[in-house]
Amino acid sequence: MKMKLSRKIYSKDALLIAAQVLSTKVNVYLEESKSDYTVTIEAKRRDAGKEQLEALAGEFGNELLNQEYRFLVGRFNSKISSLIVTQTLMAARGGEAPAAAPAAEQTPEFRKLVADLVKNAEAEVARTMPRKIADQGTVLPPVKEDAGV
Amino acid sequence: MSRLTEPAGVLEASPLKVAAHNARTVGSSVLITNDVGEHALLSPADYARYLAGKHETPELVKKDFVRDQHEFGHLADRTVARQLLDWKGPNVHTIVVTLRCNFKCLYCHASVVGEERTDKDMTVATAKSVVDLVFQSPSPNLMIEFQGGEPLLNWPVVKFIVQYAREKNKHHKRALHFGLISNFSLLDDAKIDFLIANGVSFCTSLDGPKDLHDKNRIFLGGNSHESVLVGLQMVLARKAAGQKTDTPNAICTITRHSLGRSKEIVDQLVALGLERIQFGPLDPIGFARKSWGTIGYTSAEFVAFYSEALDYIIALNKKGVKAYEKMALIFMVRILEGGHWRFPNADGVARLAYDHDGSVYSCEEGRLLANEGDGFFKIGHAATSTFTDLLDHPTVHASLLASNSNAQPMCFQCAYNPFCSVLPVYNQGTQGSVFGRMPENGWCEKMMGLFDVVFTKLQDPEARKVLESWLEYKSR
Repeated sequence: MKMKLSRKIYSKDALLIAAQVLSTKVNVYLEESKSDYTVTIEAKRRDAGKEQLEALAGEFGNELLNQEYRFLVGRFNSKISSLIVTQTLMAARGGEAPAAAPAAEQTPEFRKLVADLVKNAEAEVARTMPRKIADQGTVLPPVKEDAGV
Repeated sequence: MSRLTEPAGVLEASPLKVAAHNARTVGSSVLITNDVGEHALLSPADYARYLAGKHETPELVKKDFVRDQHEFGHLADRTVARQLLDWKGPNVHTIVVTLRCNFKCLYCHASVVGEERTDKDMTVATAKSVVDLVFQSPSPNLMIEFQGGEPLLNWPVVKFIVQYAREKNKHHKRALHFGLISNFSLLDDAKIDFLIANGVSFCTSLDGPKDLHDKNRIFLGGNSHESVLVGLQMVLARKAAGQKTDTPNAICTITRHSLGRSKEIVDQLVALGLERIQFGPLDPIGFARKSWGTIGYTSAEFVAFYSEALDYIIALNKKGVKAYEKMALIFMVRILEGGHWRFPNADGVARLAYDHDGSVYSCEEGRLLANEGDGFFKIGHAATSTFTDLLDHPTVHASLLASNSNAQPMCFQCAYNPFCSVLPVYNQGTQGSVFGRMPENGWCEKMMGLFDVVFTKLQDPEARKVLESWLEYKSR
């Protein structure tokens, strides 16, 4: 399916981001002339019919509008957004100089205590865990709804 | 349910009198909100007069809705307090000690494996690395939550994590809490002794009456509903006997089978003496997506269920029953106290999740997406990553940017913006990007519907009195 989009209305950045967002569902090919972009959309599912392809093209159009709208909002709010994110990350880090681990954790007494805890836990695992391990890759399938107790 | 954010027909506003705000018609009133988290409910006539610069009450002035009466010092303080959040590092750490489970729930988000698959258990060595990483967070409060699978299937590692974390905390001196999220089927007196002695709180799932619960939550080789009730009663008996433990929490997951049965569900929880009622709506991500056709529902259906349930809980309160609804309490804290209490976003900064193999995710739902093949939220490994590595991960930065509703199309114009939250993992799981597309976003539709319900109830003086009284539960 092909869509012709005016370069006066849509930016290349928004087209590229929209294509990336939907990259698990569609392949998007982009051509450009002086006045327009021509977008070709192919469904990744080979069995997709005309209706599904139209729906995917609609979703691409919505994502494109969403990205243009985000650029618009970003022009108003990018400074405060950047400030909020930077401040949040710095606060979460514990400031510019995060506290070091307590020295008490480096003592032989603490190390022995931890080694004993590990040894006891591993012994309990060996003592109590079931021995049988099934073949790998047997994640349970979804259960049928009417398979009640 | 209308997704329009502003009352129809509003075009002009007095530039000198009307401060920046968002508005929405809710019930018979117009709700106005501003960036510092204040709100006011006006009649449509008063709102029209306010826009014309002719409605200037002390409440509107105090709440910074009148432009020529701004006190800029106050406004700046409120803006900083509200926008520049001081997270102090992740405090909620979800540890998946095993993927094994003895239940096979219809909606289980986790991709569980059978009981014999001990290769899907967290090892003691990995558990040690995880605890070491947890304590690298500078947060003064640390909450370690055990999840699975069924965490009690790897009981030795649960015990080890509690013991090791407590030993470390003798030097770190944080406020350290533990929570066990379990189906209770393997709970016994010895385990309860250990858990209570070490300050571990209990949380389970109880989806309502027996037929409903057993339909949702299938116990391989037992009675699902009975095992939860027995476990709850064992813990409640310890509390009644004076042992120091919180009332166990029972989350009620809402499936399609729950719709129309809100009163029975609430009655079940109230009859057990559980004051906290918490509904867990399903999201079409993770394992639930696969069974969405049979157990899923629209956002509008969930909102209708919630409205009916909230009406019933408020009616019970008026009769003297002590019970509150958790989501409404969170909303009350945000709306009435300006708090961002338990904000669900800020993934990687406020919370982290650790898989059984030591992989670290910025949130638990991100781990579930990884089980489906989308590893976007994996930000490190407990054995090799430092805490600052995790914070520096591009996923954490992208999630934070996406969480900021001031930068989100539609959100920044929404009257519920000060109280709501963007959920990047939902956006990624349903729409392919952490930023999402709000006009088609199910989370957004659900949240707007829930806020409509709550703000409608707040216009009823008796219901408002009940909702305000729930604030006393916020510290529990």
